Amino acid sequence: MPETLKSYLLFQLMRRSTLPTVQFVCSYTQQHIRLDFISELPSELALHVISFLDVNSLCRSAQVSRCWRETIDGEPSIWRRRLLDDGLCRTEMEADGKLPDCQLEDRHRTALSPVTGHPYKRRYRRLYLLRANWNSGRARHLTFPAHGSNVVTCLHFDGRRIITGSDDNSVGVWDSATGALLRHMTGHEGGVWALAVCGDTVVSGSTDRSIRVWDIADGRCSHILWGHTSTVRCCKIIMPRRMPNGELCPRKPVIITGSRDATLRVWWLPSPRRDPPWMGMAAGNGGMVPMNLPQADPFLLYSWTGHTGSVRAVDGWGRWVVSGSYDSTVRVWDLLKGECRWRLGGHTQKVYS
Amino acid sequence: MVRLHSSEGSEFEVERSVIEKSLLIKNMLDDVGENDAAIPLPNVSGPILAKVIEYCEHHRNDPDVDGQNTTKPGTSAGASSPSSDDIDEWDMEFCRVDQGTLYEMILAANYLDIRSMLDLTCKTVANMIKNKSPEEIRRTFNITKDFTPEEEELVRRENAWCEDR
Repeated sequence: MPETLKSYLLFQLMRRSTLPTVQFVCSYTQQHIRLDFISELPSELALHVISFLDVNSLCRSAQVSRCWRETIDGEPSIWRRRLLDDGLCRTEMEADGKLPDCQLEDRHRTALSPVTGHPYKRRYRRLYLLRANWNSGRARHLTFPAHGSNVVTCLHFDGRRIITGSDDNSVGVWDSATGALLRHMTGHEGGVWALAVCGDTVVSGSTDRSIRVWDIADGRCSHILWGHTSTVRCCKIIMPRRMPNGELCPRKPVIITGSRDATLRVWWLPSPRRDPPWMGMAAGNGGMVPMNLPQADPFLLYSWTGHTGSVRAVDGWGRWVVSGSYDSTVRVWDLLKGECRWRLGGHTQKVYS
Repeated sequence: MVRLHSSEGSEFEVERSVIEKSLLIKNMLDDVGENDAAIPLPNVSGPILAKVIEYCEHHRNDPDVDGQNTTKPGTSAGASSPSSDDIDEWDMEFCRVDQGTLYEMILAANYLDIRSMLDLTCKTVANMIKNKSPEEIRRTFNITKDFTPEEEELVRRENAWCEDR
């Protein structure tokens, strides 16, 4: 039967039907002229529809079906647009800036394929929650004096505490919720200018040329590492990483320190609780004097020379350590071989960070 | 006057100034010049073409806001921030059709390149999605949930952050 005839037949039939029949037909057609626009439309038109949705509707729509989720979360332009239009990012540059790495964050990778949650959505989420927290008063501003009028030179924080180094020669550990002082660690004889933290272990570098290792649990200094002949200006703890051949590098956590004496030193990270204390020097008349040592420093691994100016910045990952210096160069060092691998020139001014 | 042929061959006559809302037809007319031949529109059925003409008639005097600035959907469009709350009464009534018709209207507006009608129809669908729970959205469009219970829970958690707290 031709379509036109069908329509005509139905029309005439309906005209002669009673109200209940028409109602039945009506409810039937209502049910059946429904259509999944997002999966039926060509994708650019589906995205055009989606571009009119606010963030709340977007998040709910992403829960409708696999297809909806992939369409919405898999499309960076949607979330990028929202970032700009909702005022979370003022400029395109801000929206496009270094995007969070999804791969590392995606802990619940399941059969739900493909894993979406584009970086722009993550960024949106973070900024949205940040704004919501400020607006609802969940976030608040906390100020506390910490080191009084002395300069705070370096700072570390995690979810619970803030660790500060100051030129008043001390290291402070503060409760980040209340600002209360948890530990005040003194011992350095000069300002503290560098900090590194790993669990409860704090490593500090000072103008007194020493590096001290502290246990936050009791605030005690368990190890003092000597060797630099000038201010310790930067320090980092490098954790072991598995190399392609399966071995760990470094074998155990190490401390890398950079100093105004233009050298870098690499030390095994002492454990305040397991390794016997090591002071290296003792207080004597007129300052610190070398102790009568039965053996050489058990923690020093390498002493790297090469820079011709103060070493101001250091970082590393697995086998590689990178340092920046006031001599305007950057050097790349190999922890496995214990030597400088590359010298990177090009900067015409001091390298700070 | 311009003659148009719908997909099933019905003929429509419409003023040139009216149908020039469609950039596709406008460009065609500009290219062809004075010509009496009917324009075949194999992608648009008669009832939908009637809706399109109704739309163009009503909006014939609208200022040409988007002019030549026709950004393709999908790419980020013009400067104004999109909102689906600014639909006037006539347009709202115009879009009060069944979902199948609305779907065809979107395709036709896109094919004929009538930017404002494409926006209107897409906003209408967006409004059908807004302020609904996922389950309500599924019911609205007759979509079957293809998540396993675990997946549904995962996706819910993934998106819980923007619910009012």
